[in-house]
Amino acid sequence: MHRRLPLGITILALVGAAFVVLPVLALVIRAPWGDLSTSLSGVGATTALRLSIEVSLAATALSLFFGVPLAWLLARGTFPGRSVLRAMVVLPIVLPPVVGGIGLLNSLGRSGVAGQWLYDGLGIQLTFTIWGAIIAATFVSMPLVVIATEAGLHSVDRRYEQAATTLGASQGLAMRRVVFPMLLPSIVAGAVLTWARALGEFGATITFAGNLEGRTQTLPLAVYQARQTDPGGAIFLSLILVVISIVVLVAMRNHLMKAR
Amino acid sequence: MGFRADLAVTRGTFDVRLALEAADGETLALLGPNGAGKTTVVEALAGLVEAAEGATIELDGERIDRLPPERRRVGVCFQDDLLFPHLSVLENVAFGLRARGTAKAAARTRAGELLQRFAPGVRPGAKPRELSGGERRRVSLARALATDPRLLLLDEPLAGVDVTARGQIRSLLREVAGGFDGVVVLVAHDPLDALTLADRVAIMEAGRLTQEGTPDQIRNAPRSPYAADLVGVNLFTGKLEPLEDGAATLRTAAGTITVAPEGAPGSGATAIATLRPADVSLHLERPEGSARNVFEGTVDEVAIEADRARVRLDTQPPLIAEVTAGSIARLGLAPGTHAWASFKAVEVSLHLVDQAGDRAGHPATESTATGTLSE
Repeated sequence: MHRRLPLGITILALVGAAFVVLPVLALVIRAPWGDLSTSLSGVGATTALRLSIEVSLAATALSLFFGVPLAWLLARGTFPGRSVLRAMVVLPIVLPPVVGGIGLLNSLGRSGVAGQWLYDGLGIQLTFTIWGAIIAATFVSMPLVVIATEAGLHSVDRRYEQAATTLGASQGLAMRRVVFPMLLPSIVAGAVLTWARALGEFGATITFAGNLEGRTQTLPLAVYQARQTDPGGAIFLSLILVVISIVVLVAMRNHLMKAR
Repeated sequence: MGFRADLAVTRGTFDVRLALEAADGETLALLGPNGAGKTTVVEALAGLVEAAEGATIELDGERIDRLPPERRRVGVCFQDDLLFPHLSVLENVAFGLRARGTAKAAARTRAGELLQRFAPGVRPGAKPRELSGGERRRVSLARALATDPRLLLLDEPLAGVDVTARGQIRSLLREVAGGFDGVVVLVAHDPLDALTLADRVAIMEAGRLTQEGTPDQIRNAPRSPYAADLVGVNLFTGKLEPLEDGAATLRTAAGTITVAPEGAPGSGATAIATLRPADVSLHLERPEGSARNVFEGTVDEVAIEADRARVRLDTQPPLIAEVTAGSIARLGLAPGTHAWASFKAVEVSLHLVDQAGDRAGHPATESTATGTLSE
């Protein structure tokens, strides 16, 4: 028997859904479709899109490269201050991104705590380069990999590792051949969230890397700039972000369903 | 060379301290109630928990207690198998060989052979979650044996196996234990497994050994109430001969008893039967009644423990009876007393080892006349 939900719940749910759907729908409705091609070339959509994809993928790679070992340390390590470190690591999720950007300026900027040493000693400048955009995106999105991986590690029974060692596997081999494959679905889920977060990153990027067209101006920054000069172009740029995000969310949903 | 362990493990407020020893080719059963620390012993022998100061484990004359698990040559068949869920059955069995440096092709060939032998009905490409409990146990055994361990630890090898597959796993274990050239340590809480598979039995309670000896020694003279309850059973091994009324006789080397098999076992099938001493009644005169097993003999020994007494009789076959201390006094039982013992055929638990005419290695079936022993 199919039972009807109470009317009150249905109404509230529909209002909630409309609240989420309407802004996206409005983008489609209000887009000046007639000026599509001129508008897109005018706001430098291709450059911004390419930059966004490069930056978000690089940030995801960096987040995985450092975030997975960090999660491992948090899940399996025993050292004083572990809970403090865990709190610090996830801080960028709750911090306003612009605060993160200021922190990055003061640490890795040309005159920052570590940045001046990088610049004076090695001649490396991160601010106002694509590397700055990548670092800003990594800063805000890496916690998502760490959280997903650490949760995954807690759910993998450590006795599988033990079973592997009784079969002659060293700790390292047990990690690679047993724990890591069992952990992979968690890491993939974390990576997708990380990538999505990096793609949408705005505040830390504009603060730390600046808004330089062709160098640090990713899609969200291009939207922000176009909003003042070409509102129609801003809508098209926004729609690009919407489409990419929907495609990824649907693909991830299918992937996670399969892993289950 | 065998193995010798002087174990000490502390886990919070619980500590395990015991010495174990076994020769090559020997199967030692470690028997004890839940929470006695049996699994801790397994983990300590395998190197999965840190042994306390002063503990020593020697295998083939070599100290292994400071070695990491991967260098101990100790194979473990875990209670919950712990087959790697992301690997196929074949890859699970090949895992240890690969870890120890065997080339991929050779490891897969060897793993295939082991699977053929231990789990012939299992598709090598199947994932562990597709298997039944009994099949998983078979794969787990093959995986543990693949690396040629010198010490094989079987932690409750019949736990989690459903009743219909248990007889087959038991036969497989008998075959494995019989053909293994190192030491087998079998952890069990079902006394039947310990008594029928092991050369020697060590009984463990609250982290300590309370008794050690051959199954016969322990059965005849259990030293603690737990041992008496669990291991102090009458055990008969012999050939079945069906009777016309559905019952059967079990012919042992020392006498014949009447049993009530489930189904119709073939004539000449080998069976192991157990009978709880509390199910044996004692009489001073030949009893009249429904019991089909009535034996005459003299009392060999009376052991009184609190309000219960175990009486050993030299009947054919020899029997152990458990009665209240009050009955001992009322009947005036003492060594030398002439007495009668009786029990019903349905009180005998029967486990078929081999169907008549079947060769060893074939799956054996099992029937239980009166339910399981341990509950």
